[in-house]
Order: sequence, then C-alpha cells, then structure tokens
Amino acid sequence: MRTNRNISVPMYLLLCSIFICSGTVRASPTNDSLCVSIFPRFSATDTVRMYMPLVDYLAKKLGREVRLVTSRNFKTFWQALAVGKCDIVHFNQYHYIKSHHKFGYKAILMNEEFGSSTIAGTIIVRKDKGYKSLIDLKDKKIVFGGGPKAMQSYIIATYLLRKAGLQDGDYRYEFTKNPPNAILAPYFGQADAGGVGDRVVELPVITRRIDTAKMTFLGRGEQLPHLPWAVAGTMPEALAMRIQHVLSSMSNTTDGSSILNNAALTGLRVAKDSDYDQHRLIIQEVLGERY
Amino acid sequence: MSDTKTNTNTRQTFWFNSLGIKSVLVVIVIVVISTSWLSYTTINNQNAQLETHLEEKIRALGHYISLVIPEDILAYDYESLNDSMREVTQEKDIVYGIVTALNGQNMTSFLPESDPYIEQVLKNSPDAEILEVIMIVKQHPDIIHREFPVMFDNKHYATLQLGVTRQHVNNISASIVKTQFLYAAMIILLLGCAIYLVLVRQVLHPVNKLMNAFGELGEGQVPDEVSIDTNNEFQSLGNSYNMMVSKLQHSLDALVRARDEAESANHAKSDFLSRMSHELRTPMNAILGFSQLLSMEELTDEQKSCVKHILTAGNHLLGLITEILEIHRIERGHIKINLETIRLHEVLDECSNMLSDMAAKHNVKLVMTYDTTQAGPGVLVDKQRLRQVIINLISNAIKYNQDPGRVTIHYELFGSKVQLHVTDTGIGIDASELEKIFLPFERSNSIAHHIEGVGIGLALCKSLIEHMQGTIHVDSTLGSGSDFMIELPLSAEYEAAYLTDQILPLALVDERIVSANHHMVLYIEDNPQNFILVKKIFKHWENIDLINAETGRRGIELAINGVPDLILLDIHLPDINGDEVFAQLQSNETTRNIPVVVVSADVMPGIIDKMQNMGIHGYLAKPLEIDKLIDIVERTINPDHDNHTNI
Repeated sequence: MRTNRNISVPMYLLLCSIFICSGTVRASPTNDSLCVSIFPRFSATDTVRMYMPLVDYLAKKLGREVRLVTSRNFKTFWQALAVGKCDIVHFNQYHYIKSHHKFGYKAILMNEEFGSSTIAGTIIVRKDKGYKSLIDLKDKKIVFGGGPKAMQSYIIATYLLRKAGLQDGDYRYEFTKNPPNAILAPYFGQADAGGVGDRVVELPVITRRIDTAKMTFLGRGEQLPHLPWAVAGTMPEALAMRIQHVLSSMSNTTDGSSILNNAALTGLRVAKDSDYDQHRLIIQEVLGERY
Repeated sequence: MSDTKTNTNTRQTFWFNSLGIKSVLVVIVIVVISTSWLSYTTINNQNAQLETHLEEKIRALGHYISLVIPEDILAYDYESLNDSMREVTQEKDIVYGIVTALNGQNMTSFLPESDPYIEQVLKNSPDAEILEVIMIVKQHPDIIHREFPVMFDNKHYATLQLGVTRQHVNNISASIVKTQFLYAAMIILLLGCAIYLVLVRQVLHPVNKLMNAFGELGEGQVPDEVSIDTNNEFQSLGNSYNMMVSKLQHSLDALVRARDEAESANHAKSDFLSRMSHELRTPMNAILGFSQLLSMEELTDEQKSCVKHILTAGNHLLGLITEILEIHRIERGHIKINLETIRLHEVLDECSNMLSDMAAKHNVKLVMTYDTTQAGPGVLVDKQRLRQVIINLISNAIKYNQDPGRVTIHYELFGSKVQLHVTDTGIGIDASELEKIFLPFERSNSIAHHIEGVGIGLALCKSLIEHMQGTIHVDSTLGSGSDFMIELPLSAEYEAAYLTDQILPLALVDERIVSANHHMVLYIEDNPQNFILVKKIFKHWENIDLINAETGRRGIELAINGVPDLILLDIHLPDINGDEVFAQLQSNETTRNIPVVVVSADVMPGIIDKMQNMGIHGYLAKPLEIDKLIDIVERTINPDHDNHTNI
C-alpha cells in the first residue's frame, strides 16, 4: 500500500510539475485555461479527490478549461505562486496575507465548514490530563499542526499562549505534519497539548479515529474568517466576479452542494481582503511580520 | 470319529492360539506403536518447527514494524502510521495488528472484519471496541498474540500487538498427519506382509506341515516325509521327524508282514479246521446215524449197552468237534449273536430240566433259589447262546462236584445288570489257576486227570458272554467249591410286561404225521453210507420215493426230468460243488421252485451264509439229527398223516 502510494503520488507530482513548468512558458492568467492551486492542507491524493469535482464544476460554469494544481508542500506551493502560475488559489490565512502582500492575490471567497465560515485557533488537551488553564502548559510539550506558517494551528494558538503569559521557551513544541495530527498526538499521549483550528476536531479523520469526548479546548481564540480563496491580482475584475459568483452560489444547487460536500465544505462565502486584517495583527504579534 | 473331531477342534484352536499368528500380531502391534510414536514425534517436531517458524515470523514482523513506525510516530504522522500498519499486516496469517500509545489509546489498528475470528466476535458483541475485540480474539487457542515495544533511542513510544493464526500451521499439521498416517499405514502394511511372509516361510509353514503330519500320525496313518528347507531349527525338527517316521514305517511294515503271516496261518488253520470238521463229521454222521437206527432195532441188553456206548462216545466226540469249531468261529468273528429280550427263568428252567438227570446221576442236588413260578427279570441276550453257557456252567458244576454235592443257581439285580451265580460244592480251583481257567485248552491240573474234557468249554462261555455285552467271573476256594458269576445287561423292557411264553413244545417224532400222498425226494450225495442212512429214515414215509444222484450234474439232470418235491443236496460233490448245482437249478424254469435243503458236514459260517444267501430252503448239518430232517421234510412236502410211522 505504501509502495503504491509512493509510486502514484510522485507520478502525479511529476505530471503536475511538468504541467506547471509548461505553464511557465506559455500560460498566464489571461490565457483561456485557468489554474487552480490548493495549498497543502491535505495530501496530494486527497486534494485531487476532494477538489477535482469543484474545479470541473467551475470549468463547466465558466465554459473554459480549469486545471487543478496541487503542491506536495508549502515550498513548491509557494514557488508556484511566485512564478504567477496560479489564477485561483486556496490559501490558509497566513499565506494569503503574505501572497496578497507579495503577489497581489485578492480574497474573493472563504470556506464554510460545518455551516460556519469562521474558525478559531485553539489549544486542545486530553481531559484526563487535568489542565485547568493554558498556564498549566508551562514546561509541557505542545504540538502545532502543519508547521510554523499554519495560521490557526500555530500562529493563533501561539497567540493564545502569549496572551496567557507563556513565552517562547516556557514550553517545548513541535510541529505535526498536518492539523489533525496535532489533536491525535496529545490524544495518544505523545504531547501534552495541540495547537489546532477548532473545526478540525469535527473532521471525520478525527471523529472516526478517536473519542473526541476525551478532548477539551484549554484555550480558544476569537472566531475569524475561514480559509480564503483568492484570485490573481491581474485577473480581470469581471472574471473574478464571475468566479466568485459561480463558487459562492454552488451551495444553492444540489449538484453544487454535493461537490462542496466532497471537498469537506458546506459552502463558499464571499470574502474580501479586509476580512483578514485581524490575522495580519496576530501575525505581526506572533511572528513579528508586518503585512 | 470323536478323535477326528477333537483333532479338528484342536487344530482350529491351534490356529487361533498359533504362535505364528501371535508373533505376527505382536510384531504388528510393535510396528504400529513404533510407527505411531515415530509419526507422533515427527508430527510434534514438524509442529514445533512450524510453530517456531511462525514465532520467528511474528518476531521478525514485529521487529520490522517496530523499526518502521517510530519514524511515523515521532513525526506525528498517523496517516503514514496507518499505511505502515496496513502494509505489514497484509502478511499471511496476521489476524490483527494494533499500535497502542503508552496511555493505552489505539494509535492505529488493522482489524479486518471479514476475518473469521473477528467476525465471530463481532457477531457475538457487535458494539465491542477494537481493543475489546482483540482482547477476546487473542484468547482463542489458534491465535498467537505477541506484543512488541516501539522504541527509538531506547525510549518507549508505543506498543505493537500482533495476532497470528495457527490455522495455516494446523492445516499443514493436518496435512502432515494425514501424510504420516498414510505412510505409517503403508509401512505397517508392508512390514506386516513382510513379517507374515517370513513367519509363514520360516515358522508357520513348517509348523503346519509338522502339525498335519503329527495329526495324520495321531489318526493312525503313516504320513509321507515332511519336506522343510528353512535352514533353521524347524528343518532339524523335520529331519528328526522324518527319521522317526522312517523307523516307524519299518516297524509297521514288519508288523504288517507279521500280521499277514499270522492271518495266512490263521487261514490255513481255518481251512484245516474246516476240512477236519467235514472229515470228522462225515464219518460221525454214519456212526451216530447207524447207531441211532441200531438202537431202534430189537437188540439184546448187551447189544443195547454197546450201542449206547457208541452213541455216548460219538456224541461226546461230536460235542468236542462242535466246540472247537465254535471257538474257531468266534476267533474269526463269524459268530452270530441274535440279541433278544427273554425272561431269565425260562432259560434257567430249561437248563435245570435238561441237566436234572445228569445231576441225579452224580448225586448232586440242583437248588434254584428263585421263584420258579415267576418269569424273572428280562435280559437282552442270545437265548440259545445263553442256554449253551448256562448248561456248560451247570454241567461243569455237576461234573466237578463231590458225591453227594450241591449246585445252587441264583441271581441278583445290580442296577441295569443281573448277576447270575452258579455255585457248587465241588473240589474248587487253585487260586494260581483261576487266571487261565478261561483260556482255551487250559484245564485245572487238579482235575485234568480224572475228568473228561479238553478245556475249551469255559473259554467258549467267556467269548459268548462277552459277545452278549456281559462278563464272567469265577471265585473259588480249593476244596470248598466254586462260584461262577455271569453279569448280563437287563432288558429295557424288563419293567414293562412279562414275556409271552415263547417256549415251543418239543416236537416229538411220535406226533409227526406222514403224508399219504406220493412224493419224490432227490438226494444228491456221493457218499453211499449217507444215502443209505437217509434212505432208511425215509422208509418210514411210504409215499415218498428217495432217489440218489452221486454227482452234481446227474442230480441236475434228475431234477429237471423228475421234478422232485424236495432236493437234499450235499456241498462237496465229485464233479461240481453244491453251490454250483443249486445255481443251475435256480436258473432252470422247471427246477427253480423246488425246495433245496443242503445236507453237509461243512458247517463253516461262510458256506452256510453263502448258501442261505443264494436262497436254499434249509441247512442240515451232518451228523444228521433225524428229528430235524423229519421236521424239515414235514414242513416242506407235508406227507399224509395217515401213513406215518413212529421213528
């Protein structure tokens, strides 16, 4: 199984790379075909499985070719953004803010998951650990989902720890490959706490695997706009609006809802860049980066 | 018959108890046990090896997983952990695999619901958690459950639990058992056959040969030599047996030769006696016949005395000849005993009546101690022979008695026997002579000189009594007398009813009536004296013509031409024997129905039987008893009563 996966994923990535490289030469946001890139929130396989129907739906509605591009990690994802390959990009909040700052991407939509278009960063622990407040995590091991650029799992979670008075060095921390693992690690006792978005605990990958009733949020931030979908700054306004309309109205149809469900979404809501100003403040607070 | 049956049973029993069969069974049992033990050991070893192999497989798998998954666990990559587990647990025989965190939580697990063990548990407990399911499944005897710590840098991160089924091993074991059993069965069969063949060749076959040979020997046959070539003790035994049989055969051949010689001598004696009998009885016929006729004539007292002496001496001589012939007849087994049920008293009465004159002459008193008015017990005997024996004993008791003396006759019942005693007050017999008193021609030395006899009477009595299933004993004290005891079997009908009086009145010649009709009798006889004697007898029938033919052929001719009413036929004729004459008469239509009475001094049973079987009307022995001749003539041709003459 692992072998199969290892074979199929590189093959797919190879194809994608070839496609991206070829696009560098001849494709541009103004070309007839559109490129959709999804940030590495899930595995490449899952990403294709979840978002391909949505891309096909969009192509059908737009009447033009729309291609899906996935990235194995944030490095390749960012490289793709840097060369201006991607017309429509699904970001996490941090990368959106950064790409908006550097490449001019503009938020047009945000995720609605489990009926909510907002998400809060949290610190999650096992109930049987007996922690009462975040300060109890002093000298404990905390895992953050996804990496140091993960908005909910690390940046907001760290922001919560800072607010609680725990500074860098007051606790040990590591990063998990993805946010769900930041819940599983404390559940399995590998860590004392996990930093993760509050909606992650409701994902089937978590609920099917562990007894979530044994977990509790020791700290939870304010509800902030969910993961954004942005279009290249060079994209014509009409096309951007067209895309925004097509995707935000998907939940109004049965077919669209089904496609959204396949992507673990209940809808896509209209968003704008200023919706992420709070994130910009938090990033500055935690990472010291000003955008 | 009984011996043969016993022998057969013995052989059947021997078959079941045969050492060879027992040996075969023992060897087979040993082979079965050893093969079973070998199979059991082999199977156990195989099972142990399979089990070890399985253990090693689990251990290797466990170590491999333990090496692989720490990377995933340390990276908090639980998807990869899942993939790793899913990959390794695809191995054959793995029923389940689970990685538990140190806090006991299930980090990842492989638990196929289609697995029969898990399916069974889930069927019984559908809501069971994964850990609960594993807890139950691992209790199953077919499941090998092993746990491996997941370590990295000597730090324990999790625990790997693997469950492996022995089903595959069990299937292999079952297959091995089946194969081993098949091999064992084949080995047993082949070994059993081989052992059986060896035992048959080396033991059973020679033993059977010897057993059969001894069996035949036991049944009185002399078997052929036994051929055993087993090169072992049985061959030596067979050779010894053959030597024994060879010597036995020689001994038997010698015995057969001796028997043949004895039989040849006996035949010669028989022939001699037969001839002697004929030769002695033929002149005796004339002597006694003419003496009887002479005694009927008007003679002086002195002449009468002389004739009487002739008759007495002749009768004595005739008695001796008769007794010798009787003894000879018994020895040859030719005596004919006609057993019948009679009442003892009638025989005793007859005998006492017959011997009363003799007793009176010797001044011996005959005393009967039984109730003579009763018939007495029934005994199964030949009446004539019993009478002969009793007469012999009583006459002996009279002869050897004292003057005056007494002979007491009495009997006692003992169970199914009757013991008849003839006790005298005579001179007695010395104890040393009692043993040989019943041997032929043996006489007591004390009496041999002054009392006539040749000493065959008691031997004859003993033989006759034994032929009637009885015994005879003597108890005697020298000077005081003897007690002869005969023990006879009682008749089964003794208790039933009294015998009817079978004693026929004596046929007195005076009462005979001669027929007035004219008849012709042909007497074929070469001896003129015999014919003259018979002619003199026939003179008393005026209406009978007696004609003579001196040869057999002449007799046949006369019979065919004259058709006599009766033919008297001698056996030994100059041209052809009497039996040939009779055969020719029978073959002729004219003479076939003429009654033929053989008149011969040859009283050997073979001759009499032969003639009787040919169909003769009667047989008269020479010397002729006139009463019997008259009786047979009367009964055959029934002469007229009005013309009879007293004889």
